Amino acid sequence: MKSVRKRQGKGAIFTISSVLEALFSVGILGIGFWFFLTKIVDIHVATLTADNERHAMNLANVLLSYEGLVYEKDGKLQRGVLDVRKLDSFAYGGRSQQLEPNSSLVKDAFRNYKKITFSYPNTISYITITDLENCTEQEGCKVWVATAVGPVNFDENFVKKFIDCLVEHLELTSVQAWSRRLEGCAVGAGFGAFIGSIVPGIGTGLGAAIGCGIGLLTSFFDPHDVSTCGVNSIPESVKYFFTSGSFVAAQGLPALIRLPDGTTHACRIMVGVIEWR
Amino acid sequence: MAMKGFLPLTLTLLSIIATATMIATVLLVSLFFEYHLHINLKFEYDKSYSDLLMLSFLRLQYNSTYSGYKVLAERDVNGFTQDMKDFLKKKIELLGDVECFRIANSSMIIFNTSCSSGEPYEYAGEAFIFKPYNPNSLVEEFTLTYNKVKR
Repeated sequence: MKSVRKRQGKGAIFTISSVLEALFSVGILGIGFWFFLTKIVDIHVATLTADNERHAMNLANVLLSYEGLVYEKDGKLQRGVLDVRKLDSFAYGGRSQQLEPNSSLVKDAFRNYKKITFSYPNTISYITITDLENCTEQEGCKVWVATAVGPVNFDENFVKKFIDCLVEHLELTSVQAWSRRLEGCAVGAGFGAFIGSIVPGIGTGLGAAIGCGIGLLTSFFDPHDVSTCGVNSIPESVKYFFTSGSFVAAQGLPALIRLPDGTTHACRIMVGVIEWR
Repeated sequence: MAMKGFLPLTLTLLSIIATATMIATVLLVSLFFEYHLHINLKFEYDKSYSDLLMLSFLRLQYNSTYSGYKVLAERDVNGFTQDMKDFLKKKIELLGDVECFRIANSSMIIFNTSCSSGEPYEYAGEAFIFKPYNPNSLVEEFTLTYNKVKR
């Protein structure tokens, strides 16, 4: 009796440990899945956007010392003091109710696009300068908007790479590939014949021939190969596309605008960088 | 003999604790890395903001002859009137979206405004200015400490 009870107890302990192990394994799998889906992606994105934020801060600081924008006195550039006359020729001026420009102003700014000759490679930067002391209830504050485009750098010709990849995957001897192409030709021919019979002047025969040609061309390559080649051919520089938006793009940096009469107005410069790598 | 049956349970518990510790370590390391990334960026932005706020307020034009810089540098000679203080207060609050601030040198508070919650402490910018008529020292270090408006 005693040994039976002991055996039963032993079994129960094994069962508890097995249940615990199973639950723990499920828990580990869950945590692993959550970790890869959230944290790893978060860190990857945070690392890339941190670069953009830094680029936005640096560009804003460079603009506040840029000779084409800042006030010059006795041959010396006054960092942080923007000359309103230079600003008018540098950027497109308008009015906006918010600190950041409204959509119509952005549209106008892009229409009256002024290209600035410096920026980071593979970036488009939008620059907004808001005069905080030239505001009205109805129209909002005076805002200047400009766009800076950096040099675009594609390291290789991705069209050539795409075609080379497709040629590499081209199968001319495979029976399966030819049966797929024949299927494509047949479907295309049927569809073309139908359209040819409806549209006067084409005819069923010509429609079927055109349809067969189109069907053959579209089924010439395996769709999986086409998508793989497409993804592999995209240049590294355009695979990631992130925008700065926490600090300089959203809150801006303080600066001054100097008017022709010598008075200074408080202003805010905001720089957002859209960057692809 | 009776304790022998507990060995698998003990091993399971030990392995659970070991794995949980490993997961917690990996999570903590990744969280620390992310925090480090954000805090560094915020520090860089705040430093840039404070320096530019300081620079802008020193370059403010009080009137045709006086800049913010001159108002502070020559305050012992020309005085630091209420009108000057009001001008600086209005401009600094607008420039930096500031709720309250304190301008101080190494030994005293020169000018401060009141906060809704105690003293200004959140951000600070520093600058050295030239004091042409000061017999003790020709250079004075200024600190602008401020709190931003909470939105």
